[in-house]
Amino acid sequence: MIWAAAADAWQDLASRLEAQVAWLDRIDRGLADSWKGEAGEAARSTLADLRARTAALRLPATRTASLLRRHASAVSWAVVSPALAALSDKRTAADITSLAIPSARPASVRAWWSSLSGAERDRFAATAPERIGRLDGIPAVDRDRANRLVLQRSHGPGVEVLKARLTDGVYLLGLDTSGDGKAIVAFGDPDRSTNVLTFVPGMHSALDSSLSASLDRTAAMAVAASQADPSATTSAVLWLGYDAPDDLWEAAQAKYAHSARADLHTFQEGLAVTHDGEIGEQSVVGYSYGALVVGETARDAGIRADDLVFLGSAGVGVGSAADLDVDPATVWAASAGNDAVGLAAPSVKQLLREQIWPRYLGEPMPDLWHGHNPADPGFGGQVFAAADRANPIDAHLSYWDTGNPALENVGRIAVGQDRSVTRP
Amino acid sequence: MLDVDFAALHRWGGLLQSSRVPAVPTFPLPGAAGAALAGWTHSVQDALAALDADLDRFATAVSACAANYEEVA
Repeated sequence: MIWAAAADAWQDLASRLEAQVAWLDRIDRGLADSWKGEAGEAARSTLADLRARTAALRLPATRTASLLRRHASAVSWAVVSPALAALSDKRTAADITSLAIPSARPASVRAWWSSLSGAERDRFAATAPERIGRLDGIPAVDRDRANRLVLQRSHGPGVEVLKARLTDGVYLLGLDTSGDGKAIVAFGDPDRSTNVLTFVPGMHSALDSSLSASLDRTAAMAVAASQADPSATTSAVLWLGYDAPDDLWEAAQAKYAHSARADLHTFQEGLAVTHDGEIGEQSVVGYSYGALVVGETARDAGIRADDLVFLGSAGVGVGSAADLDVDPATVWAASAGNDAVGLAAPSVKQLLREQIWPRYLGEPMPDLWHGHNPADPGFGGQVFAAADRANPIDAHLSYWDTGNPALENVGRIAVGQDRSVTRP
Repeated sequence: MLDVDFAALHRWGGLLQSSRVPAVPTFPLPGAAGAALAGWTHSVQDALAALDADLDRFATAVSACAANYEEVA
């Protein structure tokens, strides 16, 4: 009972935080009406920061309530099954320990950067390019300038790929050569394009020779968006801002996605605060393990996006689209019928029962490693068409192939042409 | 000519000063989950306390600005 009461109390906290955000919005509207000029703008900028910090706490509170409720249910069975309660105790402790409060800094960073003179900005970018280059809330052109300085003195296969690909119109929004390496690259200025698409890649992604394929996929989505709406500009951003799993063993674990949540949340917030006016359509595409990163971020930290798109996913950390804290009508997914990811069964028993035993590689399974398959109609999102390929591995790798309806559909979603999206 | 409605600013400043961010529920609970929850509660408490202090400072500043504008006018 006490666990259920704790769950209710945390849910109540989440509700009160939501009310507080609405109240701060009301104050903001009031200040906008009654306080014009530079001082009024500065006050509203501070208020925006306070609002963002309040909003950032709501989803972690909701998630805490959800974890406590799940544990309360397990504890209620303790008399019958003490082992179940003990298992839940361990799992709940791990899940709560992984929670983090998302940073609400981009709005503050933006205000600080705007307050500097041109000379001061130049000095910061020249003397601390590593820090300026990765700071969400700083405009894309300034981040790019700082990161190119870092790139010039860096080495390695992935660095060489970047040097070759950073032509005009391509922006380096993040670079970290430590460990497997990280890179954030935009095709088109995200601050001035009408629409912004963020692509989160999956397993094997790193700052190495594999970067070429991720860049090609990102560029292909920019082209697809441009073809879907030639009258608008769409920036497509590769967000390799996390340490992706290196193999299937690692990809079966959610900890890589856990580590990415806060950073992806903040990056999306940063895109919004540095954009020149409102972003037309902001979308996030998660591929393979990247879909789990997107799903867990939406679930636990919140993600600023008009549409979430999952490609070739083995689950996104929830049982249904409604659990992602976004309108399920804005959740899209596609999976080739014979995508190898459909074999990512949570147990060997399920794999035999649902795939191997009935037929050789049957229909995609509803339940996968990381939750319900988002491309299953039962998930509650919108399923769109993707082409099958000759074998399951090719099927998993082919979403960006010319002529694959999946690519065309992602382009349509990125520009808000939802009605043109084709269904399976 | 200042484009400021300082009466309204006084009102918003007062409203902000009277507000408080929500408190975090505290539950001493058993097991590893209880210990994890205690640590997490502490983190959220710290974040809310910092937010409350900053909100208070902001409210004071808004009220002070309203008073200054009134004096100048």
